[in-house]
Amino acid sequence: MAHALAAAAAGEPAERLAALFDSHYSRLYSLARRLAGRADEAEDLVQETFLRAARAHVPLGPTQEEAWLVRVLVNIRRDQWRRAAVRDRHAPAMVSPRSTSSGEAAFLARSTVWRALEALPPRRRAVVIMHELEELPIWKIAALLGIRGVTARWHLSKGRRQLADVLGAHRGEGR
Amino acid sequence: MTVQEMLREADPIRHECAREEQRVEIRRRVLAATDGARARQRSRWASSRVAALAAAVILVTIALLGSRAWFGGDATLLAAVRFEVRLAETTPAPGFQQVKAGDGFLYLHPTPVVTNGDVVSASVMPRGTTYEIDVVFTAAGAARMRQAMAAHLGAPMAILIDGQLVAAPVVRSAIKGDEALISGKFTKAQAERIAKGILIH
Repeated sequence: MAHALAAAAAGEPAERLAALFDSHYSRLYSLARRLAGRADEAEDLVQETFLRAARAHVPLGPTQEEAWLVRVLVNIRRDQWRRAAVRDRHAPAMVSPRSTSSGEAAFLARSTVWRALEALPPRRRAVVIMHELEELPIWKIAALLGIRGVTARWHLSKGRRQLADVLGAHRGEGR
Repeated sequence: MTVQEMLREADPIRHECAREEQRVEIRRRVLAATDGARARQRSRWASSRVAALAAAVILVTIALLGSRAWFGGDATLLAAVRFEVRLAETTPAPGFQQVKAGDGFLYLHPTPVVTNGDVVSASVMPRGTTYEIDVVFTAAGAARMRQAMAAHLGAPMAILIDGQLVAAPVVRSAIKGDEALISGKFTKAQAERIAKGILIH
């Protein structure tokens, strides 16, 4: 990957962007899929991120590139989240799953967990995802998101508590 | 079951097939958007490459929301050629340059902390309705920024383009590792002008 990036760095913008895309698409899609509600939303998110990369200076070097792309992606998601928050202010509250089918129950349980995650602000959600699912250390998360380590740790702690509150309450309802 | 276990169980990546066709389509659309858009940047990428790969770098984010320390100055930034960051004081001192800052004045230290020659790259990034500028410094520039900011907590740091004050964020925290956060406030046009000005050595 480093070789591809180095070769593309001195090449045409299209070549560099292609190398950027091929090097980072999978990582960005995984993050986007975990940040967004649906696969097509995640794809739109990744596409918009790379389109912005096509229009801007992206710092060179794998680490700087990844951090730039991750921050743009999370920022786009934050904008979407804020707009949706205004739009959905009067939407009905989450409905608890009621099902007798085990397959459907498993699906609904997953949905419940994921909707609890969706309730977190995007940057906090990104911190939780990166730590709990991508298993990145705090310093790495902070560097990727361009925030201080103490801020990343605060988001993680707050996010965990919020999830535990929602999911704990849900488990209680199911008894 | 812990929260982490619940998240892993519910992770959509685990329950989803690879979407290779969509990946190819997105790649095609993204690459189609590059026609002509980045040709002007070619020499910039090439010239900054060696420095970027060789230097230990610091990432300074000039964030844009909620700062009262922004003093505008968009009228003269188009032809910006000189970028400087100087420590500033709110009270006068011998040898310090007085500059207008909002309704009052700031007093600039005589020696800049970093200038254009200390910058490897600068890029504009969106942040809500405003924009950020990411500046990557060389190892030497990063070290000077770290040292200067750590000794200047709670006081303003002046960002000058072509000698004009464009922002004077207050240093909120000492840099840890290779990261710093400077808050300002920019429109997209302002951010782009500043990013371009920073890159002119």
